[in-house]
Amino acid sequence: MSAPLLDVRNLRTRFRTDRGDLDAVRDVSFTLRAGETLGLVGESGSGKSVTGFSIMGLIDPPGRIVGGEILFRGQDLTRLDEEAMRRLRGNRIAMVFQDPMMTLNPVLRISTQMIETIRAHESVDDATARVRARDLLGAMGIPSPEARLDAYPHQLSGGMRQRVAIAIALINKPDLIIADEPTTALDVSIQAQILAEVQQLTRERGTALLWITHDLSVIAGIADEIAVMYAGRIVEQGSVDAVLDHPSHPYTAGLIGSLPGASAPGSMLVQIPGTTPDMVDPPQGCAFGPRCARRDDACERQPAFTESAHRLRCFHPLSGPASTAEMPA
Amino acid sequence: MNMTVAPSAPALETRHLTRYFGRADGLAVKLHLAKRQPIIRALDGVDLTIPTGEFVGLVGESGSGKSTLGRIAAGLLAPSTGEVAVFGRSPQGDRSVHRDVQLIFQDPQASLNPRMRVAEAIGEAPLVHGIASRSEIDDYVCAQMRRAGLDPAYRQRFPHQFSGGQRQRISIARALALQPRFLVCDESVASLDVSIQAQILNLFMQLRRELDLTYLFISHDLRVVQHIADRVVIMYLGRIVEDAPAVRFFAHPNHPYTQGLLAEIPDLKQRRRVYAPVKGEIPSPAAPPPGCHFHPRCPAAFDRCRVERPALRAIAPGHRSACHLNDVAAAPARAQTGEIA
Repeated sequence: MSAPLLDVRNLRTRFRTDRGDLDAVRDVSFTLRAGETLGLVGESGSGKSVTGFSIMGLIDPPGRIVGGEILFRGQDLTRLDEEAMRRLRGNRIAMVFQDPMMTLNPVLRISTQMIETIRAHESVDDATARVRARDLLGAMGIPSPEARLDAYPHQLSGGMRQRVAIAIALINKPDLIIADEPTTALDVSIQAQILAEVQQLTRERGTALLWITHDLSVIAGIADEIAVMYAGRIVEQGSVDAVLDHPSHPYTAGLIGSLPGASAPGSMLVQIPGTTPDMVDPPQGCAFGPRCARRDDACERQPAFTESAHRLRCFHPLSGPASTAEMPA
Repeated sequence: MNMTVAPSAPALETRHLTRYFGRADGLAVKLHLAKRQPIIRALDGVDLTIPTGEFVGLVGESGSGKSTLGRIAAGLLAPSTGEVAVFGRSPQGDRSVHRDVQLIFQDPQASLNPRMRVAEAIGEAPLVHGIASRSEIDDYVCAQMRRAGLDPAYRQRFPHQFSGGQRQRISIARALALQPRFLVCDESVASLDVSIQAQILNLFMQLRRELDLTYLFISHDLRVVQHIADRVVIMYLGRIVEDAPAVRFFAHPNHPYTQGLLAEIPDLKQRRRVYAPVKGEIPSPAAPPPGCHFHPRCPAAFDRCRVERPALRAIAPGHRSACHLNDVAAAPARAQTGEIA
């Protein structure tokens, strides 16, 4: 097999808080190949967005990456200086945020912002860049793209703005797109339109997609592989079918069970008791332990991540892959 | 409309309800010094009856008017025209209604006063309404918190000291403290994580059984509604387009908009699916299309849809839909039974 496009190894990202250091991402490893879509799933505070921001080099000091490597085409992004990172960002790696206004400048016309993005990485004239911008807006399903180019962001609807933000992410034909909950705030019919367009564009261009979301149902439709994060760690990872049909980590099973639609209408939904742990002072051993029905003494230690197609961090999995050994200290 | 106060009066009854936002032309507009403010028809002739004890899921996208309807039901907004009755009484005329209906919002952070301790937030209204006296209020607050799944030991804390799910429980406890019979939940689980959402949905179902509550549950999430509601009402640009018992609704959706929405629900079981969404954007409620509001996006639209508003009428027992296609479909059936079409 070819070398992966993105190879994240033992990533650890730390923030400083009043109460002490907080490792939002702990020992996260995964790979992503060209044309592949990985769904990074987790709830608030699981570290899924921070993982995306770390890859993009968007961790603001005093937050920083304190360990691990992010190999993009074999180059370690954590060692790049800001100028080299800037050349990659928006060019080879692009990010789409939940709120399109994170991408868009409210006081600039759409055309200015799109042309600027093209010309920041390529020497083309304005007219050529404008044509490319217009064509891409059209490809994103925006009606009368020529007229929209001269609009300001506030003149567009929320769904339209998100399409423009995605168009800006796609404009330099990046190798990797990191999408952080890009459809969460949108209406169902608009969400489906954007999913359809992103799917088509990644298929045509072989773009790799890291899709960060809390919504397993959205991921089921678009991802090849799923990684489930809890308290800064990936606890289960495998093909979309393996993880959703045979969830092995009790947390993954709990997440799937708590989705309405998984159980009969009117029945009580499966509840994961308790709440997510305090990341400044996380529980010893398996972070899910205090909420887990299968917990025993073994869980006082940190489970290692198994090396197999369906990877797992659990001493007492529900089914499928073998349980993990104790992690070397 | 003749509505009598009776124990059997429905929890909510609306007739030809409309609500407009925007102002009449002021002097500046008349002198051509300012632009005319568009009038937004948030509600455009809504007829809806919710019998007591029913759990109704009200679903719509942005601009559908679902929140406006919820606010009118809760007495926070007055209708522009038409009639509304809550347990047979007008929320505008009879303030006693306000105790019977409580609203739970999407964002508990925004609906709880950050400077009020939880005990005060929950206990204030029962004191004002004389449900509990000063000497009883502490026990009363503790009971409300317990019922909403909160530890009363934390009642002297402030809202920011709780997690998002717990804050939503605080708003539920505060609403229940007035002993309402009717809860209007406006996207009350939309901003919660999946595992917390399950906890709150379970709480709603449990409270319904314990307290015999009626619910108007406003949501954009059909999966949640399918799980929890007896009946589903779909709104589009200020109008109800379909209204049916939940089981029938999900098995036999009638309106093209509803069918499109159902086809687009992300589903855990559908892998590597190809999305084929409803085309186009939701039009602005300030300038809705003529005729059927959905016709510009409807794959089955024909001439009549562009000019005539379809009536919301029964197509099966308890199932209403507003679509001209039903007349086309019904015409041959009538001919067969010998009726004059």
